[in-house]
Amino acid sequence: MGLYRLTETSMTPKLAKPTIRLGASAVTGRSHISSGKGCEDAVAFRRFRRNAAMPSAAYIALADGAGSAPEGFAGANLLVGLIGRMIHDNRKIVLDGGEEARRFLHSGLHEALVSEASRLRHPLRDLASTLLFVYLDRDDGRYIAGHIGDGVIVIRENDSCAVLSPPDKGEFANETVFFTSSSASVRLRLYTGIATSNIGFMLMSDGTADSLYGKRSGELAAACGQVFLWFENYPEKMASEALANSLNSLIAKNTHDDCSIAIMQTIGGKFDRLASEHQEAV
Amino acid sequence: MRYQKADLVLRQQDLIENPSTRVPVCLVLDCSPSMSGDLRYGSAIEQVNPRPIDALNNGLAEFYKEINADEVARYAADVAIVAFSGSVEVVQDFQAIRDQTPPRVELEMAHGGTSLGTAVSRALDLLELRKKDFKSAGVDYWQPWLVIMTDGRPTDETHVEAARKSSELANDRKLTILPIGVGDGVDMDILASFSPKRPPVRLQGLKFRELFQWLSRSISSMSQSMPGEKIQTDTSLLEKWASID
Repeated sequence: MGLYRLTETSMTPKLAKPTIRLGASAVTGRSHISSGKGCEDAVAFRRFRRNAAMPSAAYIALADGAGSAPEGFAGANLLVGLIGRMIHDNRKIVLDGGEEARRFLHSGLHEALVSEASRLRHPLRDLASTLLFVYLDRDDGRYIAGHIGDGVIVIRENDSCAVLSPPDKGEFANETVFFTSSSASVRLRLYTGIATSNIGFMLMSDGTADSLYGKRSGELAAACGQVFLWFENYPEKMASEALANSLNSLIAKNTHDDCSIAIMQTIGGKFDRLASEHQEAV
Repeated sequence: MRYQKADLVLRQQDLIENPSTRVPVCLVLDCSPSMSGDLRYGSAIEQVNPRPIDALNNGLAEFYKEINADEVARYAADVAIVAFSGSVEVVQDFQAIRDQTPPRVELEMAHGGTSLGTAVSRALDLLELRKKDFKSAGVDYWQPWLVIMTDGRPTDETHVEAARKSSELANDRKLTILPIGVGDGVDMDILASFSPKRPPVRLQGLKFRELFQWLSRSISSMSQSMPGEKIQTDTSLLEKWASID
């Protein structure tokens, strides 16, 4: 019997990709309940399945329609519904971030808002809304996050939470920048990176930030870490229900504003980039 | 893994307690001898009880009462009172008025005159200091209000510079100014010089109570406003106490 030298290729185990758990919730604020207005926060999340041309990916998005904008919710809803597909279909332009990505995303979303405003027969400013989003490539771990206006984006890496993007507010409590603002193209903040291990993202609107983000210190509430652990340790449906309950029964009680939140948490597996690094190391 | 539902609950102690958002309101109130209603000190507003100064103080008490009855405004209102005649007194620096009784604004009989400009300048200084305090403490605040109330004409020239400063703030949308004339002896043009965005109004008789009720409701609306929302003041309530010349 001879000894055979086994090649690296045949020895290399196939590593599973991470599972991505997603959840989101929005609750009408007390001031809107008493005035008969509906919730003006919109949230969205979606997985994109791998095919021959495209990798698998996921995104979360959250937008807060402006209080003064009669069609603020329409603007918010359009933005959260559109941003994920826009990034996914144009990954090559967008995932590297930078000025080109900012221009591309701003002009695409702006054009969509103009078209929707025309359809609704309202001026563009009536669809004013903030926007927060994160898109993660499940194959190679690359991500892009974007933010315009108030609210907060949180990142969780190595079991530790940090603020990725703080609120962009004016001097007064009711001042922020919206996607329809003339300065939106320069005030749209983009953040790119590559996940090196399991990673989590949280988007929160201004109302939710009242309970989860310290305005003076910039620190995050312990609740942020707990919510990520829910999505790490429990089935997505169970964690999502807990998230909605917490928003409704606790967080919304601390403010008069609408409250919304979106979570993305990866578990297990390895991103392809790391898998290939692992192979090289063998 | 065993699922423990108790793990899926957040508690108040897991959250952050941010200070409530404030509405700074500075009341600049004429307490010159003419506010006694006595004809010797200029045209009388009304020669009936109560005296104008008493009606003003009653209105102020109503303001405190209405603010404290509002669930949101009582945590938001942050009030300073500057009284003036020929001299200026800070009756109350900015403070929360939750569960507080209002101070009494007394007639200033010793120093005649009406140094409206000095009073407004002092009020603007107090506002700037208060905003600095808020910023360093991480306290959010809405656009401040400056309410100017007088029943006479300025007796010095300090109003020129003060009006320039207040107008600049109003034009930059840093300040909401509400100038109010009381009685017939007011120079409404000088009052108007303080407020380029909102013309002065004349108080109907001694309707201070109605004025302060309107003011408390405006502050309540502001304290519940959301980002991007314009604050609409209740014009139907305004008409109950104000006449626009």
